[in-house]
Amino acid sequence: MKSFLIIAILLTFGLAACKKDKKDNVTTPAPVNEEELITTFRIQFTDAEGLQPTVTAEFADLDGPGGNAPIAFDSIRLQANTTYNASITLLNESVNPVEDITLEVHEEGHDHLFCFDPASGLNVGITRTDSDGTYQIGILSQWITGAISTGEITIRLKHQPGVKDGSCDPGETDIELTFQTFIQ
Amino acid sequence: MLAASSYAQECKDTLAGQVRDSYSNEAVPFARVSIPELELQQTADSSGSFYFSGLCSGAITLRCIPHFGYDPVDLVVVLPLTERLVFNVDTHVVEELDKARIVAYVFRKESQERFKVETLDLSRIKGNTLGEQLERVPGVTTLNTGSSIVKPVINGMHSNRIVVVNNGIRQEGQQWGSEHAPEIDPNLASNLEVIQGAAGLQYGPDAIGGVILVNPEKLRYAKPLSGWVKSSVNSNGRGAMLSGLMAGSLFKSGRIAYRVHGTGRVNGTQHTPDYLVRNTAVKEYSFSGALGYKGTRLEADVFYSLFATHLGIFTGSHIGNLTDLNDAFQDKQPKDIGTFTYDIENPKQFVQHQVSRAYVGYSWTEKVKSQLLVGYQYNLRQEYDNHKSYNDSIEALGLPDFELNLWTTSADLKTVITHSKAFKSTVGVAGFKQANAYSGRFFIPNFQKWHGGAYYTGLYETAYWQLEGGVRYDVSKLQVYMYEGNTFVTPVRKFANFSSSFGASRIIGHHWIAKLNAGTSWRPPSINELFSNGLHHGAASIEVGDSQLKEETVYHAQAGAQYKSRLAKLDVSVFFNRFDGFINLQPVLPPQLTIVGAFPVFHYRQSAVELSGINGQLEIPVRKWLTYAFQGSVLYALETKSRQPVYGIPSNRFTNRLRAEAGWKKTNWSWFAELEGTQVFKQSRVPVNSDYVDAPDGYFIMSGSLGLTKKTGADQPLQIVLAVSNLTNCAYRDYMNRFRYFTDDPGRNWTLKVLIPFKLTTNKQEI
Repeated sequence: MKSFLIIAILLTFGLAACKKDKKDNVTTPAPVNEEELITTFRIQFTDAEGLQPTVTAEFADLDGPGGNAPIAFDSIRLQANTTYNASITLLNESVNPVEDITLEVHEEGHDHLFCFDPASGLNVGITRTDSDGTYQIGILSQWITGAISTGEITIRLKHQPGVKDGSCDPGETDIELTFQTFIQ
Repeated sequence: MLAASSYAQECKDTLAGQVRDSYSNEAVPFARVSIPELELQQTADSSGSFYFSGLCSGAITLRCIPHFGYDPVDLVVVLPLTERLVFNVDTHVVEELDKARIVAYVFRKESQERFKVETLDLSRIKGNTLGEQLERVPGVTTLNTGSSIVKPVINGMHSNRIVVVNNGIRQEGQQWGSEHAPEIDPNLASNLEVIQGAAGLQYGPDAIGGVILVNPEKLRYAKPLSGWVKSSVNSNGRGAMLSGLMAGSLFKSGRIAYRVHGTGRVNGTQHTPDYLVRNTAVKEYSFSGALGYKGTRLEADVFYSLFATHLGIFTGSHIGNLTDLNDAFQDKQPKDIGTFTYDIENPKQFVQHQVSRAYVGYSWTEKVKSQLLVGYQYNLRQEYDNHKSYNDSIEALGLPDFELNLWTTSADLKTVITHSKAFKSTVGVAGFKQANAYSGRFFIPNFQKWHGGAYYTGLYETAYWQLEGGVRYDVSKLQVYMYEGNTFVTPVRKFANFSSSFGASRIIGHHWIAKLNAGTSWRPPSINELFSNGLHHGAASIEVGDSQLKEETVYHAQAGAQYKSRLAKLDVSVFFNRFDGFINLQPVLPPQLTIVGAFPVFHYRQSAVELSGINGQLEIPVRKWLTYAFQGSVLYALETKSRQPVYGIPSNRFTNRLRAEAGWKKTNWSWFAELEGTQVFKQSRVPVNSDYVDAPDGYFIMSGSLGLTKKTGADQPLQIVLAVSNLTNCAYRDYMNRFRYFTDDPGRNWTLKVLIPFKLTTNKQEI
């Protein structure tokens, strides 16, 4: 009986004592959501010849998917018959200071690919102009506009770890935005 | 027999005694007295006296059956004994037991067996998870996420609408999630039981579908060491499982008993009939230990168990957005076909559950017994998304994308009062305190929860009638700690309500039992229903909770009939549940725009729902050695206001089974063979606009098993079983599998199972 009691008490208290440390955080959760997000997608177009004004289009959803609605979803307005150099910037604006995720996508270029899919009626030709050494990435691209037209362009960022083959098919979608586009 | 003879050579103690009625104190003549562990038995004489000789010193269990039809009474006796033993038994109630009443008692006992699954009977159990093993109980189906996460569903209800009780302790994990299976190793249990009606009230007000009891083997006080080793290998995933249990008692007195158990299981990448399903490996281990003391009035034990599982989540199910999801629907098979491996990559889950319990039972008198049960549970859930981090240094830490910690401390105090042989009452109070902390991606907030309840249940039983009834009152308080934007808020929700259950059953003639049961249950809304807000990866939907949800109340009624004769056994029950404020996810337009495209939005809403159904079972002994069985269930769910069906209700199904079994004369060996075909129909009753793709077609799958058993001196027979599931290797998708969007269900799986029992007596092993 005695030995039983001793064993029982040890067992009960020994077990109850473990894993208490994290419990202190219950009533005081971490204030900021430190999660890694892409909140903002920005694409900037500069005229290769320097004649037309620079154009910027942005999508921004500062609290990430769900929650509040996006605060910016611009349309893209480009001049007809012009060659633009486009560059993409990805930001996490939910943290302070703002984090530039473009650099990380560039560093892991062998896992990433931007895909541009203009609707068939839209007169624009898009070519990626950067490379991870083997395949293109698409942070930088060249957009050659034709005659005046209107339509949608879908821009996707595909995450293709180990399966990148230059096409848009494999992998998981990290970004998918459809911009209303005017060539005017 | 071997043990008995070795006893006889070495031991010289004797045991003389008399069987007496505990009320009148008069001698009970011709009672049957036995020492089961030594296989000794005799009948007391007309003065109730009995005498055993050639016994060893130490503890033995003496068993007495006062008259035919009575339950045996056990008494632990420590030898040598200096005086004559008086064995008091209770015989006063049923003095004139006629044959018909004995038949009625036996019949009633048998009628309750259908809700029990003996987990050590390898010829009848299937699979490695709690959910699969319960599938033989009428009305039980499963909700799967792939092939490794399996949740039991009772009469169409699961998760927060059923209660799982592990060794007396209400299991508190993150059960609200449909991809969160009960964190329990069924190998610990000697049987699994589904209870409904008043008896379930003592485990909580929220056992709307029923209570699943996971009952470990009782501690073996004053009994020799025994146990078993169970092992299996299976073809689909090249899996292996090893489990063992050992129980016995310590010291000469035999008043202290222990039990230890452990299980390890691995399974590699599983395959459908046509392809391997990438990242579906599982690694699981669990162990438990119990130590108990049993005196004449006091009984106490402590118990600890740990369950841990590493699960790969099928890679193709973590999709980035709706376009990916639509692509997945279009594909006949996933883009990313796996290769065989035991390794687990992201996405994956790691789940750990620890239970500690301390139990004290005290018999105040022979008729009043109190039990105190204190439990402490820790549940850890870590989920790793497919999504890598953009930052290599964060990636290198290998942290989960989110982690949930849940601590539950519970206390249950109940008193069982046996007023008479026919009438028994149970009164009790129960309470628990819970704390939850998350880290990583927000899914559910931190909270603390306090819950308290008090109940009374009564059972009145005569040979022909059984009446039961119970009421319970519960209060529950939930305090949440979270940030709304940048503001720290601590909303509080309080819930309180009554629940009740009343039932009656009557034996009619020699062959029928009729049953009727009605009652109310309720549950407070769960944390995700109140506060989830965000993208549900894998489901590709945005799920939004409603912090103002009320409790969900249900009024239920059930009627059943059972028939039993030499010709057939039949069991049919019809049930009806009327939910007030049934909480479920409902689609809300328009889809929400995010950087990964537009996602459909679902809100947790309440509505009135009716859920009804029929469960049936028929068994016909075709020959002495051959039995045909039929099992079927039909469910019908309706949202009363919109007249729409309800999402996620299991489709109708029936099973035909042929079982042959026989023994070989003059040996301890017997054999069995079983062939089973299950037809599952297409779920045609689905609400509009709430699902991405149509419910999958119905399917027919076959399974079979073949085995040998040998009776041994141990408690279980030796068993060798070869089983096969999905015999025809049919490619199918089940409506209740969340991965039906992406991949087929598993293909054919051969399993070879062995159970080796053992028992030690006087240091000699006997198998």
